[in-house]
Amino acid sequence: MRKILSILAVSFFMMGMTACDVIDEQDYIKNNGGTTPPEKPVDPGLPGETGDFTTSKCVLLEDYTGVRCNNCPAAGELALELQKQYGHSVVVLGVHSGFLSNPVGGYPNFKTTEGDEWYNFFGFDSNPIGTVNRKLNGGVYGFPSTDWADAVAAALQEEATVGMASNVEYDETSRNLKVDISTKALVELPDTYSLTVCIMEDSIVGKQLKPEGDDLNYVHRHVFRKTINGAWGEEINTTAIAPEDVITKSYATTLDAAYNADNCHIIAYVSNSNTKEVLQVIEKKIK
Amino acid sequence: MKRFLLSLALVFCATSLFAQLDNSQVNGSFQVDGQYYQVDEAIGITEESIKGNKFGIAGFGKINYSLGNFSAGIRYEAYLPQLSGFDTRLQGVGLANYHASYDNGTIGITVGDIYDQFGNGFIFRTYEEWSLGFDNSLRGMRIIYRPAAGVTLKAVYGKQRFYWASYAATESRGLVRGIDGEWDLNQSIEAMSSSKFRASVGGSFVSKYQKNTNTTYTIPENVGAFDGRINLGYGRFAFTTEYAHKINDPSAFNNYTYHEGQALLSSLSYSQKGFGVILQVKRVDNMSFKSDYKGVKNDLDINFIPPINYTHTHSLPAIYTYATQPLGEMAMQLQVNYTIPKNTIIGGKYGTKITLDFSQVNDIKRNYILEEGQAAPSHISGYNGTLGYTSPFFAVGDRKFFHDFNIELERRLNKKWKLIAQYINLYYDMETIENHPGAEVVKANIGFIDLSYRITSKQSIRMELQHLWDNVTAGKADMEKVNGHPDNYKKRGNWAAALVEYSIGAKWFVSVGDKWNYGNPIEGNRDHYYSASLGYIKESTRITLTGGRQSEGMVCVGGVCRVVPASSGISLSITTSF
Repeated sequence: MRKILSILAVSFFMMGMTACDVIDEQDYIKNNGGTTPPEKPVDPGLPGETGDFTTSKCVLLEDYTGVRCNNCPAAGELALELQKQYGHSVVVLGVHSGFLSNPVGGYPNFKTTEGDEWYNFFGFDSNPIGTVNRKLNGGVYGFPSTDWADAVAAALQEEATVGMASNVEYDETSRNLKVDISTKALVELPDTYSLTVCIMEDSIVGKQLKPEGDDLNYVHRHVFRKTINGAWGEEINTTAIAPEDVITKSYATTLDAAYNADNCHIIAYVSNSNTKEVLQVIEKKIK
Repeated sequence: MKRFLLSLALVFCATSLFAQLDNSQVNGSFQVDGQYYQVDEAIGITEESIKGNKFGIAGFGKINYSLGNFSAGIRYEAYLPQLSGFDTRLQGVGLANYHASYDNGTIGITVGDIYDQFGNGFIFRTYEEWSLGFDNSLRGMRIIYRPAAGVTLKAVYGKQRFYWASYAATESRGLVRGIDGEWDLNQSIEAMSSSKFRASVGGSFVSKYQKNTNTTYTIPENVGAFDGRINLGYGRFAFTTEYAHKINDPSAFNNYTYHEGQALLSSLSYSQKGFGVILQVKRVDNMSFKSDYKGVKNDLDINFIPPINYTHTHSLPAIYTYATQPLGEMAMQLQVNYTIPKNTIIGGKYGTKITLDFSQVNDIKRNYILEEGQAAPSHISGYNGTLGYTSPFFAVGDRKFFHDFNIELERRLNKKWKLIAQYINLYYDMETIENHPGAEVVKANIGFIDLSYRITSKQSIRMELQHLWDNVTAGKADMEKVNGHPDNYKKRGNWAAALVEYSIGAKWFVSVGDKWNYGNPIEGNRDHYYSASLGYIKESTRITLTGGRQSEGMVCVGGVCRVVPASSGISLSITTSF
């Protein structure tokens, strides 16, 4: 019996020694332990802003949020921080959907049919939750906000397979909006792909629930308003796209009178029609 | 995999060929649950919410084969699609589990999917719960060694099931490895074999390994947890205690905080014929233990925190069922059972059973680690990337999550009539338990009577009458709060429920019932949830057909819960075993 207990004690001790990584407090956050923080890229401006093809990898971070979700403002802050850190190579779309976005009790209504369609399709049931290039994360599309930084960093490491360019014309009097989006294959693209064009309005002031209570003057960032060409966009090919092939699509619409044109942006992205994964995204202010 | 399946197939073929082998046994069970969903706008079920999924069907078949020291089994599952309220990641069909074992009494080896637990499960428990859509089985190996009478050593190693995700090495979820030892002194030491004093001790160690791919935090790739337990008994008294400790384990669930985890469960009981008392206390601090640090909800739990609350089976008290809080809770339960002897004035001709139960759960005390001028964190575990908080071991937090005081009487009135009556006083912190920000606490009183009448030796009828009085009900609610957050009031207010069930022999039963949320503060929510069921039981086969409405609620098994959305339609359930 003594022998057995000794073997057991030694086994426990050995497993305990080899199977526990205790982290020192100064090393909880990477780069705080004396290593050099990674260099932040120089802000290249909004991707697609110049009219030239954006051929560096940009990432679409969708923040599924709600006006009555008290944990959502912190997630929104995180999205903004990531956008600052990566100099707009991260395009953020704040999609208000889920039951915590229902506009009851004096909260503003930012819900959209497209947003609800996405939320349901991705199988979400709570906020905040996000997608990063709508890429599957262990079988699901959603990433909790605590994992966005990781997922965005990983997505930015990927090679861009599509270049995108845009031309946006806006007439202030008629509020007519004309959008041309060109996509250029950087490698052969064998599947079918869709182009989706969205209107995003930034910095809308309105009521938001926060952990400490209601904030009547909360600034809602990156609010998704609508798509110009349907929730899942328009398919741009039926056969494989050869490298360097350029496909241009043009759209015209009238900007809703409720939107503040000064803060409206066009966000356009190319995605795989089957997997929904976003290959490239650009953003451009309409004014 | 293919080779393994081929081996299993051969084994089953061998079964038919050598059916004459006396030791050979095949058993199994099957279950099919199907539901047709219909639009019922009165309770908020629209075409939009059904999303075109008019049918849900889920089923499984489990077959086990044993021959002497050898056994093997498979479990096939189908979700086409999954029923409403189950995780959408379950959708699909396939061979979910398989295993093969050899056990000669001294040594036992299992390969395949393993279900097991160490002690109460504080640091390791793998199990499957069909009603929750939960399965955290470990695919790998288990070795059991019994070197002497009363001594059991176990080792497990593998990767956990995650819906239908592959077990390939490229999958990011971690590996789980653990060892456990248990020593039963009464079996080991001959002098103690017939002693009134009973004792056993046990200890476990479990570690998970997962590669850190997080770019922000230094996630420990090896997270270990220790556990020790003692069970003592003398005559009618029993005392058990178990303590577990887990090293730093930052995860999405605990907001990437580095506070260590602890759990303690102690229980003292006394029982004799007609009388029993049990007192339990529990402390849990940051004990969510998952094989993927990115996991949320009940995903990839390695461990299990047992609840110490009364389990209500009637429909109204079950509306507010407590869900265990792995991030922290201080809980206690006292239960006294007494049977007033028969043929006494109070006990009556047949005796009367009385059960008195009180349980309460509070948060643990948390002293948050804050920088100067920093506000209290919004996440209960503290700010991410920090130690989070410190917590004095024996201090009880101010916030009460739950209490349940109930008294139940069970009495046979005469040869024909039997009565069960219960009164329950509940306190339910909906904001914490259901994660509904801003939800008001439920302070409810519930009463029911359950009356059975034996018509003939083969026919009986059972009636239930239930009522729930809520502190927030029509006429007493703050309508500004209600209109501000109507989602928090979907099931609030007074309820009344009634049910009649008629049984013929042990084969047929039919029941009709209604639950009515007549006191909901929102007029549009004052709905009836009526239903009717027809059931047929023959030997081990049970078929149940139910039509009507299902109210929104939570289904909880062992403190692990899933939300059940409201639905309307017809469901069919068939279970059988052989």
